[in-house]
Amino acid sequence: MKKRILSILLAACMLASASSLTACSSKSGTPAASGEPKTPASEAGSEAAPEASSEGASKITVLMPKHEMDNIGFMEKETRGYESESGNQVELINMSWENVADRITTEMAAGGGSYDVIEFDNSWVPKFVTNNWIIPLDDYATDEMKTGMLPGLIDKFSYDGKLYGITWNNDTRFFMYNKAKLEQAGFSEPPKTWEELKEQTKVMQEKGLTKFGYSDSYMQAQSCVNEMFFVVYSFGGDFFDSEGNLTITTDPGVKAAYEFVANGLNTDKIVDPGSMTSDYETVANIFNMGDTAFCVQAWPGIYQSSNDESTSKVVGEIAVADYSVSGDGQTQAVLTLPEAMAIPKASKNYDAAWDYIKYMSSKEFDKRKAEEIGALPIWSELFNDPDLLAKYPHWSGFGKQAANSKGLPSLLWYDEFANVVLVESQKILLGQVSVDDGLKEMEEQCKKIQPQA
Amino acid sequence: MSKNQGGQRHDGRPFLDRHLPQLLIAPSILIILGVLILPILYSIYLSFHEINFSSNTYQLVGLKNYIEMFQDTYYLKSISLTVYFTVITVFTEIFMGVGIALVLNQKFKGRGFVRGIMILPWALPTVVNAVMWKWIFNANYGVFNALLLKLGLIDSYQVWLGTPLSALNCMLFANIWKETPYVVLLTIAALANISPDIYEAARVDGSNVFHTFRTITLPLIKPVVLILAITKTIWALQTFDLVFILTGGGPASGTELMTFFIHKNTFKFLKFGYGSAMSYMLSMVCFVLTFIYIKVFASKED
Repeated sequence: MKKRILSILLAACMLASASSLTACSSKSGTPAASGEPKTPASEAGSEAAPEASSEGASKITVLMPKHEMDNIGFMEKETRGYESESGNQVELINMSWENVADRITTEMAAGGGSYDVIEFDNSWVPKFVTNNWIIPLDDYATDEMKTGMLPGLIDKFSYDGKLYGITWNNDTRFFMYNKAKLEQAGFSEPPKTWEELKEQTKVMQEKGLTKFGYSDSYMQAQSCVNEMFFVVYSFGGDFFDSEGNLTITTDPGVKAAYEFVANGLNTDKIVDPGSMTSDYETVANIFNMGDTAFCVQAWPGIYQSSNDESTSKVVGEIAVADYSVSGDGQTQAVLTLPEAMAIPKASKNYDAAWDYIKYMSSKEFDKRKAEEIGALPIWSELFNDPDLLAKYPHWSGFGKQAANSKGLPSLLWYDEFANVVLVESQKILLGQVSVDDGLKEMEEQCKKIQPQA
Repeated sequence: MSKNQGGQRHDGRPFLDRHLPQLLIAPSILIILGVLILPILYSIYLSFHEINFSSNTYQLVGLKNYIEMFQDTYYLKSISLTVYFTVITVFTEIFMGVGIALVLNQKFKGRGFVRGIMILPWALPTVVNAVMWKWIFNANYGVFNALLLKLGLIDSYQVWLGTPLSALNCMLFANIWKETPYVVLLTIAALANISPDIYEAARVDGSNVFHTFRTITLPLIKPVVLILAITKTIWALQTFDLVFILTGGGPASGTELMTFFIHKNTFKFLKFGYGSAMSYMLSMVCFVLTFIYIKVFASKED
């Protein structure tokens, strides 16, 4: 009898657990399906905001990739500083960009409300806005923000006249080179053209000064797409014309770019073959070990890390060029890949989420970020800040190169487009197909997935 | 025997006595229904639809997703890669695993220690295994290159994960290294159940080692090998984390196995209907292979 009662009790417990699981899943799984989200004002007093405490403090969850220049835990430290100042609690989740991208897309598609502030990449703008996954920030953003932040960054995260993201990472890349190695090889100036870069590399390789001219991230990831866009831009090419038509097989700049990189890897041997598996950190490590003489798309933090004796063998040897390498010495381009913070529509804490964003994009925060990890500011006036210019005199080179910054295309079908570019680019770079055949296949595959107007 | 009001027969025992088994399995059934059956049915529904996220609507597209997958060159390529990966891993793991188990079944000094060490790779989480091999195969600083260079087998560092075939074979190597111990473990357990008297009788009858293995050992461990072949095939078809961490599917999609391809289409390109259709294709492959294995082994048993 006792055994039977015990069995029944256990069964009842299991049933209760199963019911709770079902209840939990129905609560957390369908916030987006319930229609329009509550306004911030109504949300404040809503029973549906379980994190809100009786004292008005909130708990928010933030999902962001790690800043590529943040080797000292700056963002974590500042987040804790925000908690002390605001009284709100923040769960900061950091992952690699690729993992964050996967997680956010899945979460948004499922309509989940797990996150209150999310990474918002420059390539996601049309997709996130069109799918109604994030809220516009025009009512929150102050005039000072709209006019004081770099106009390009405000524009990049605006869609149909509304602002959807506030930049937290002004990720613009610059051309850096190992001045000491170049001087030892007899060159007083860094190369202006890709041909000059090849010639200088050959001389340095012959003298045993460097293994390769440069290393880049051509691994199967978004970084390969970024880098191929940069090279194509630097040859004056583009994948689309001004009307949005594909120009992969017709633009001579595209062909020239792919020929240069493919030859650099396979015949000229000036590009590190490890580039096919390298991520950005590996590219920086190789440059800082002195195995390459150029970093064609270096983020600002590489300058700092190259001068850190604990991570670098080229302390004092790195310089920032006044220009970027190009096909003809005229058409310059550097890639800008800014990342922003956005508020998901399914968040239950719009106000607290904005409060965090406001803090993490304030002018004071931006200056601290620049001072401590060398990140580029998002506020225009900080580029003329005497403290920062005194600390980073090489920023003058950044300023000259940044004048030619260019981003990735804004496409609703960007993810699929990037996948085709990635796979077909790698086939070309590996020498599996000729440049002409590879570009032809790339364009055909793109046409298959391009939405018809 | 009496009849209740509904006309059903019962033996006069109380309700709880009569229905205790059903009550006990009810929670499990409920959970299985919630986390397995319902999602399966829902994904069948999804496979015939396309989802529009902006309007949160489902458009019926019939068999379009199923037809489209066979016109998708990237998907067809992922199928061929998966077949290659599965055939090589299952065959090698079982061949090597049985061989190692036969050696470890012999009596020698330190056998217990070697058996313990043998299981370590399998005990490693797959993610840890993948990260470890990623560093080992690193083009610039990997120990695999350093080892081969020291042995004089290469004259410069190679990019092992840099070409599709090489990367796929590196992935195979990493998977075989991790999964073979499981075969060893189960085969040793099967070998332990074979009575030494049988071997003694065979030896007295003049049977040599190979004949003994073919006529005694192999038939007796065959049920275990069958189970291993089935489970290993299904696991190989489901391989995802190794691809995700070690190669990311590259280079040039040369290591993009079916599961990775499905994940990418479903969660990156948000083609949930297409992803569901491809998932069902993979499930059918698992089902057919399992069926073939069982039929083949069962017929031989007869």
